[in-house]
Amino acid sequence: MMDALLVSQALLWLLVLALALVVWALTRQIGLLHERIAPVGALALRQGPGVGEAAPELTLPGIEGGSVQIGGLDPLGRRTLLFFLSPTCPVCKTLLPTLRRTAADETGVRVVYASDGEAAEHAVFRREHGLSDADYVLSRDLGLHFAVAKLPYAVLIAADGRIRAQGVVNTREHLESLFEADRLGVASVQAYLARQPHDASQGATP
Amino acid sequence: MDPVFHWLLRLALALLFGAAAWHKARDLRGFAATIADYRILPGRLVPAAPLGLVAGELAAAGLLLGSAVAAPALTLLGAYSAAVAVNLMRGRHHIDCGCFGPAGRRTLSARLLARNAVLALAALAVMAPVGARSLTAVDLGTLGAGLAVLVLLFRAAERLADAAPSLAPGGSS
Repeated sequence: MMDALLVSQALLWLLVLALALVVWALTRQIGLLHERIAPVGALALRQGPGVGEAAPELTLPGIEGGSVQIGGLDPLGRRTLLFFLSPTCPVCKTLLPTLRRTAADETGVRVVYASDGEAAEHAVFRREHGLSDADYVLSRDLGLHFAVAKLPYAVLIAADGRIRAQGVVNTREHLESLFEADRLGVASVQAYLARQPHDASQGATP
Repeated sequence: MDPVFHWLLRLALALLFGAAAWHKARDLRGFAATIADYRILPGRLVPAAPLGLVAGELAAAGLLLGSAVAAPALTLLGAYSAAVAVNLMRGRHHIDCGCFGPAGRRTLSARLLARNAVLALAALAVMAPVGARSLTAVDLGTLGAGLAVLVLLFRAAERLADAAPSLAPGGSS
């Protein structure tokens, strides 16, 4: 009798453990799904406009009034750094000081902050992070046009409206790499490495 | 209380505080930003806070593990819950909770307070008198398996709760 009970117990523990693993794996899947349908880009196409192509031309209302032009020729010959963010995205917040510095130091670069949702959600956020004077637009369409699936996301647009570099940015170095890509005229790290003489790219992983 | 239940709670809580301390220690600067966002501590105390809290959590884990002393754990849980409650009342739901470090991307909610209450109850239970039964090999197996299942279920529950708001019909995170 004891043997049967012990075996039953052991089996139960194994099965409970297996069940817990399955439940945990399921929640991981849900988490991934959640990320894919999170704030910006719910129904976005996988392929948005690529580097070298013209950025979608849109004229959007600024959050404080006025209008913000995305794409097309910049009347002041500036480049545009389009930064997609959300007030609930902690990594986005860590990049804000770098962005404010870029806007202040680089006279040839206009920083535009893009998000979606209701203006009221952003009022407190903008004030707290010194973005009250910055170009700030709320547009789900903008995110869809650029196929933004993950935040923070940045797009560097040349003065002539062509996309020079874009991608998910998590660090200051990522932001700087967008400007590097513009300077070097390459779309990505992979493209840059592919360009190098053969022995220089030995051992480099894509 | 049977020693197996006692040890299960004790080990699980020590693991929780240890993991929390570890994740916070991996990005102290980010954690400092999270603390600053709470707007509870006066500015000059913020730089010292991350290390202080990490040390506190390690102490809580150590004392739970070594001596079944739950006081530091309960103090931390109380302080954290108070900070969360204050900010919920201020309407600042959007700030990062910083529970398992700044990379957690979790915002404040009443659910956090409920979770902390459950953890506090577990910590109190650790201080309850323990039966004198000596543990056998089977008990060790129970402890190991029980701990593994608790960890898996805890993480699953956290993740599910994170995703819940944005999966509600018409909801967005």
